[in-house]
Amino acid sequence: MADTIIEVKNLKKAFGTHEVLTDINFDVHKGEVVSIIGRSGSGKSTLLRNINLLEEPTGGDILFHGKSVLSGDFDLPHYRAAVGMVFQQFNLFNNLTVLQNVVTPQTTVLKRDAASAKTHALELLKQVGMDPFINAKPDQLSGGQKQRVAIARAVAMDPEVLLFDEPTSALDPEMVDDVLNAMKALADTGLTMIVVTHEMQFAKDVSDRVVFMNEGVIAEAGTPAEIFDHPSEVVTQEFLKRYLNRA
Amino acid sequence: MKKVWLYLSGVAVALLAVLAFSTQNVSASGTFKVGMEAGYAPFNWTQSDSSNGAVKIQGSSDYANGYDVQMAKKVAKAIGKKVVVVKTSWDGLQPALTSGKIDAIIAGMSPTAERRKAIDFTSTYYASKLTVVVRRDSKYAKAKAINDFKGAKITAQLSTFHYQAIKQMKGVIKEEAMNNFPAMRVALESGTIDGYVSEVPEGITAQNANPNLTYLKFSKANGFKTNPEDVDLAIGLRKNDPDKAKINEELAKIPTKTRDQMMNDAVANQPSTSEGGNWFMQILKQYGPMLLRGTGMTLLISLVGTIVGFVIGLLVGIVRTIPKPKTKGKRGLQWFINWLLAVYIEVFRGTPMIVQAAVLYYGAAQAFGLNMNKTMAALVIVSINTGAYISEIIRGGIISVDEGQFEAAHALGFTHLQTMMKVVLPQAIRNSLPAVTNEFIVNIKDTSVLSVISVSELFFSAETVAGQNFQFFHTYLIVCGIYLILTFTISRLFRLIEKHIDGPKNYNVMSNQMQAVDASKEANN
Repeated sequence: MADTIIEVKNLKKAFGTHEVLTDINFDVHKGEVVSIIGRSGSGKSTLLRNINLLEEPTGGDILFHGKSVLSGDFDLPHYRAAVGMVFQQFNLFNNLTVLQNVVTPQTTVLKRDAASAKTHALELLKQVGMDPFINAKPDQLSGGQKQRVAIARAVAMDPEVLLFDEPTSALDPEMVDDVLNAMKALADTGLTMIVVTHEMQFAKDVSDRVVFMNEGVIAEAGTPAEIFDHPSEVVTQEFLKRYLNRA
Repeated sequence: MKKVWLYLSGVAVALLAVLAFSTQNVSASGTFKVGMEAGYAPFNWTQSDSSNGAVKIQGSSDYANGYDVQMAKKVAKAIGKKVVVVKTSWDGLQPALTSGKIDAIIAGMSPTAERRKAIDFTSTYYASKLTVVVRRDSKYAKAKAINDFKGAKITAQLSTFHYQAIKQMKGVIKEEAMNNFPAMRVALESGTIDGYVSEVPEGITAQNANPNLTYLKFSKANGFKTNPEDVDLAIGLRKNDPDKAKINEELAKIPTKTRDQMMNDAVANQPSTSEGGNWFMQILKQYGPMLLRGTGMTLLISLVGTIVGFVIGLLVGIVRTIPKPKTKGKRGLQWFINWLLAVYIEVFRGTPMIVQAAVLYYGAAQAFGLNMNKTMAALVIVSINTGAYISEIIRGGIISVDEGQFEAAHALGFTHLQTMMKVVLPQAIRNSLPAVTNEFIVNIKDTSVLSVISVSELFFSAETVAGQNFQFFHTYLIVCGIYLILTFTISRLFRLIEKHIDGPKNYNVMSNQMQAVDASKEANN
């Protein structure tokens, strides 16, 4: 494949004596959409939060374009701007309007001038269908609307990789599709994405690669066809059986 | 929002700077700084003009006059200096003298042995007699001897020999000592007490001002046994004052006859309430300017105190929530700074402001020779005190901001400082505003304790007014109204600020407006 953007090597994460990630190895290449699936508590979100260092790994290493993000002289704010994140709970800035939520990170972190940041923001908000609401405050929006603004906010930073941490899990069912469609549109632009999700259909249709996690390790990884149609591991089979029966 | 705070804090800093530089030079030669309450007629009182040879009160546009002021002028002339009157509360007189804020106490003070331990006294400048002030209509008004008061509730001013003298009155109920004469007169008129021990000039004054009160004359045998050192009034000086001999020389030249004449003049000249008109207009007309200046001072101290306290609180709150650094050295430094800040907060939250003010104003002068303008001292105390409270309010505000707000900002590449400035503090400050409003209102009321360092804020002014017109209820009722207007205005004002920060409740949907208009048209049809 094309150039590797992120390499995760023997990553370990423990909270006190509780080991959540035991030994994780995986790469993300440019333009790839990687879905991470697995049971609740299998370490999916923790893996994502370790990648942009919201949690500090207790072992192993993470390389960004071949350089360790854990070394002391690493430019963390710059790295985080390049690795965007969309949260399950949206986390829009409550004190700012929709437009300001998308403009302020650009002007603050990337030092863009206000005018071009605004143009960029309006364009992206239009793409996710949130341009009519630019003057609203987050608490005046529905969950689905908030998540679409959060996606526009993350994309406005022109990230190399965008991390999604269960972006539709906190949404009412009728709002899930709006958000998934926005994500599909992004995937089509060639943006590199790592998506932790319980939306199996999305993982199947949109991903280039699916990673199945179980008890802090990657139990199985492969193309959607390999994982969904011919899972080789028993745990994967059981997980999918339960999931697909429910759906 | 940010600009407003920047502007406000700028104003506050500038004000503090101006006040700091205007700190007066305490021991300027050529002036004779005399401390008095300026509220103990006929010895000393406050008036609003310079009539009858009154002397301007330092740092105020009011004047002081009375027996003490006239005596001070004679004494100052003898030592070739000019009188400056420093209005000082009774309890503040001794610390003000020993800390060098005044050069002499001429305030109707007796040279008791107790006081002689700390300060020096000249020879007598007025010899007085003890009396008991009672209600004219009470059975005690006919008392001929100090033992005719069986069952009477009697009190006297705190830390005076008057209070000690109550022991000589057989069968009386000794009440808790009170702070000042105005308070005792109120208590007497309202029936809380049946009499208070005082000195004849004060008794004459009380009787002249309030026809319901009278003072009693006792024959030598039936009266109080007093130590001449007690009833004799003398001028208090610092130990080893080089001018003491000269002052005594001058006092020796003033015979008893002249002194009595001076006292008669003082009793005649002391302010009395003009008759006619309703009490409200009367008080406003006569004392309006004094109360207004007091209101101004209260507002200035509480406003500057709250703004500077807010800035202090904001900084302390931010520092206390900085995440743990990685290197050991920085962690140690952070621990130390946080420890210092915790001490600051605990000390200033854990001690009364009245004590802090006394320690800073008198203590610093006495211990380190550090002399502060009293308005400056008041501003510093209120600011630091408020800062301690607000830093905890802000810390609470920061903690209450959802963790997700921090995470989202960090995930976007914000530094800690950027996260705080752009995202967390605006929310924390907004959440803290109701509590900050509370602090402001508390400050408006609590500045009244600053009368301990004789800052002429509203309450101190009210005490002066009430001490002169003897209309205690009416005066304090007006002052009560002023406090209420201040606090009510401020709570409304802060509600407006909160609303302004919150922004409009509704927002306009930008491109769907046409559709909305169409829809409403259809609905109307």
